[in-house]
Amino acid sequence: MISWLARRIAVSVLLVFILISAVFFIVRLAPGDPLDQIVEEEFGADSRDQMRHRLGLDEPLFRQYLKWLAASLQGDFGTSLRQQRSVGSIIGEALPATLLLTVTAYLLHLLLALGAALVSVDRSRRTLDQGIQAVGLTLYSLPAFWLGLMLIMLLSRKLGWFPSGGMHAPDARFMSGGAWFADLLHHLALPVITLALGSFMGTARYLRTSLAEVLGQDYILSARSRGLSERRVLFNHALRNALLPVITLLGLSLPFLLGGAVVVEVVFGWPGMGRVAIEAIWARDYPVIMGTTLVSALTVVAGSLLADILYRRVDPRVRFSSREGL
Amino acid sequence: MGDLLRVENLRVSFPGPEPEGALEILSGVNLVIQPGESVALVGPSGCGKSLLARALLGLLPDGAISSGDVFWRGERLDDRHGKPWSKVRGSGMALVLQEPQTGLNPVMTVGDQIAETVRTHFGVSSREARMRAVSLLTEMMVPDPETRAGFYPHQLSGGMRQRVLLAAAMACDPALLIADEPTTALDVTIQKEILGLISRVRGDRSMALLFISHDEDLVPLVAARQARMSGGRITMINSAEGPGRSSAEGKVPDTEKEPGIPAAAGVDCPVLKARDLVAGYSMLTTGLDDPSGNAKRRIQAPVAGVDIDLFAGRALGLAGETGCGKTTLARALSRHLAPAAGTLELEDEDFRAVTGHRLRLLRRRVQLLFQDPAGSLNPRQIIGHALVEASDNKDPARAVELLEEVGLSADMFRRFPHELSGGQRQRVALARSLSADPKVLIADEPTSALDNQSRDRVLSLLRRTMERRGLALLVISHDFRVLEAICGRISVMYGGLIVESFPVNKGTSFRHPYTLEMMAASPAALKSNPRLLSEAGNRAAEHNPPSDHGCPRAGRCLLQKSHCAMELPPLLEVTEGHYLRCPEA
Repeated sequence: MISWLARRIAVSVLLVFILISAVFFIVRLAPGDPLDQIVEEEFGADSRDQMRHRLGLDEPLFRQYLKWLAASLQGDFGTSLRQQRSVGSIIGEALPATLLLTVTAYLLHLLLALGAALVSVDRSRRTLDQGIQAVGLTLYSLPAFWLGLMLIMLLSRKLGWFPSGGMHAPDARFMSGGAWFADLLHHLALPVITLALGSFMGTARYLRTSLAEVLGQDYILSARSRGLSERRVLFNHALRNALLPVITLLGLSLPFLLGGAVVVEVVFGWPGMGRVAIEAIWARDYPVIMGTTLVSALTVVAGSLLADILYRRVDPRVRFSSREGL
Repeated sequence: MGDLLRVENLRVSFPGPEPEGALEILSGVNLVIQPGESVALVGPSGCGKSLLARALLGLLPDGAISSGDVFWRGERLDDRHGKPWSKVRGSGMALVLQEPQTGLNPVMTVGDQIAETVRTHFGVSSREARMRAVSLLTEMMVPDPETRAGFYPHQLSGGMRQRVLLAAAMACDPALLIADEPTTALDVTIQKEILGLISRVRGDRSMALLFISHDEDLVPLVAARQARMSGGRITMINSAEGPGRSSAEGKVPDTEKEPGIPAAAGVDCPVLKARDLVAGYSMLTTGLDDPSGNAKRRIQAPVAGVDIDLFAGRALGLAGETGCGKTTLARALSRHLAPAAGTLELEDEDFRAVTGHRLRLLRRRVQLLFQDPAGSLNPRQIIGHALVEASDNKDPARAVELLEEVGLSADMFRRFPHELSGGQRQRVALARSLSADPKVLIADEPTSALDNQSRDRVLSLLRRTMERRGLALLVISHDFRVLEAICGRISVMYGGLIVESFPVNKGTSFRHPYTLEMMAASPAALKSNPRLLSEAGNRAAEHNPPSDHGCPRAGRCLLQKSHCAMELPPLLEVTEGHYLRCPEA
């Protein structure tokens, strides 16, 4: 287990390293100049060159890369070219917001997928199943930004149930703890619903196939023949086995949720990583782009690592692979 | 009181593509079981035996349409109007299935699976349920039941899993146990233990038994009455020992042995010749290359030094229990697995060191026939394409020729594997092997998935094909009846080694203690000596792995002497053509 984990982490680190190195060169070779945003046109070429020199952007690309690498390894991700704040503190503010959004959305996503899958293997609920399939697939095929805008129009502008954007009400800082938390949840609702509604059907279909297969297994027949309740058969025997492949899917769907979160954050004005990343890309704010790329790469790698570890925890056949049968 | 179970005119069908094309599997089954009675249900595979078992429990697969009545202690079972099935499942009727591999939930400990059944029916505390689970495992002669209760199914052997399933089925004292092919997937020695156990438990609890099997030889061992099923009906009910069956019926027909060829080797050249062959999977062979043979780190390879000669037109039988290395040997002989040591020659050409294109060319001459023809045929490929795939010109006429050679009609060409019966699929698998014009055919348990009738037909087909084509045939099986029917010689394998090899004729007396033990576990031997079965039912299961040092049987042999565990006895010719690896026998 330990050596497996060590090898797995080493591969992940290498992967992240290759990825961010590639991104380093790609963003710098892409058209656009960060100085466009910092130095006004009328200041002239001289001051532009001065600025470029001061920021170290006139050095050979590979030298810049080595410098960035050396600083990064010491935990210094540089300073934003546009905001004159350290990349660390920008990300430190945005990351919790994004994690709150994606983790909550993923939990809702799983819950919806589970419900849809359970309905679909119950033969007495064919009509409900067909309804869920139709609605779920429609939502799945809609772009997240459009779905988000529609939800804002309906639930926020028309019905006034939820705020249309942001993370807190303007007066949030004067609220008591409980009220502040309720306000946060109130703001969280729409973006979470948008993310989860637009994506759950993929997992639901996967889970449905897996569940249908498990329900055909001998041990299910065996459990039923022992007189166990259908509830027990479904939850204790079928679902526990059917969820195994979904754990692998969890690691794989994390990038999609993160990608979806970027769009949703922009639509809902959610002060998270997605918004930071988009703004940094517009401004060619190289240090911030690198920082956000690194964080999302780490999240994805950590997600799939977590899925692998979880799989080993849940499936005894993998867990005990070193201990042979008796 | 009266009958325990009464089935009247039970019909089960599956809707076809057209409304009138419904496929009727059970067409009017009538069956009565009295309390405490043991009834066997036999019939060819696919005749609807398992479906009947599910129908009795009200657990028909989705889409099945049923009519007719099932009465339990005189009450009609019906979820809507009568007595609900859930009141009977587990506490009234219990089920044990064929495959101990798949009959248990892989992510729950076996103790929990037994305990949850106890809790469902008796509403006791979880601690009590767990104690009851352990006592049930003790009743099933599972050694060290407290520890075993905490094991997951994959940590137990097949026989042990079947004991666990039986314990779970017994968890709420059922009045009727339905055992659906409970020993089909097991070795003969384990089969004996499980059959003995079922008989004993049935006697102890005065429980009724419905024993479903395709192997009629087992019936007299466990059941007093036999019901035969064919064409979706029960066609015959008689006492198991009655005049309905002659002793020849259960035996594999003796397709006459060729008298001209002497059984002894050395007359002509073997087609495939292996000497001191060692094979295994990479992690297991480490340490074997070490010439000093570092005793501490010696790891037993599945095949640990085997000599084999296969001659044209003759069949060699290979017997041994699960895990003895039979299948690994088959893979090594066909070079789908590279042997770790020893020599392997195919028609005097080095078959061990050859690689690349030449290997692929040579490998075609050694064909494999597997146990499960359903798993070895591509489900989405029509039979005809499977047959011509290996040949250079994809001539459909060739496929038809092959189909005719194995006794199938030409219209099989366009069928898919799922449309065929088990016996037909095994014929197709044979035809596919023959499409490569092999010199050697290795049949790995070719008939253990088949019922007696299909088995006999496939065996005589194998024999005819071998004689007509001059094939060198290796038949692997744990069933001596199969080997004796077509093989001129039988080798017995244990712990990766040949322990005895003898020609099959009336005069030879095999002597190795392991061979004797296997023979004593065969249904025929158990029938003539019922005491063996009841002894087996009372004995604790023990499954020591083969010994790493000395004789692989050291530690579980009755003739054991002190030197057995120290050094490996050599394989010696004791009488002409009879080789034995045991100085004590």
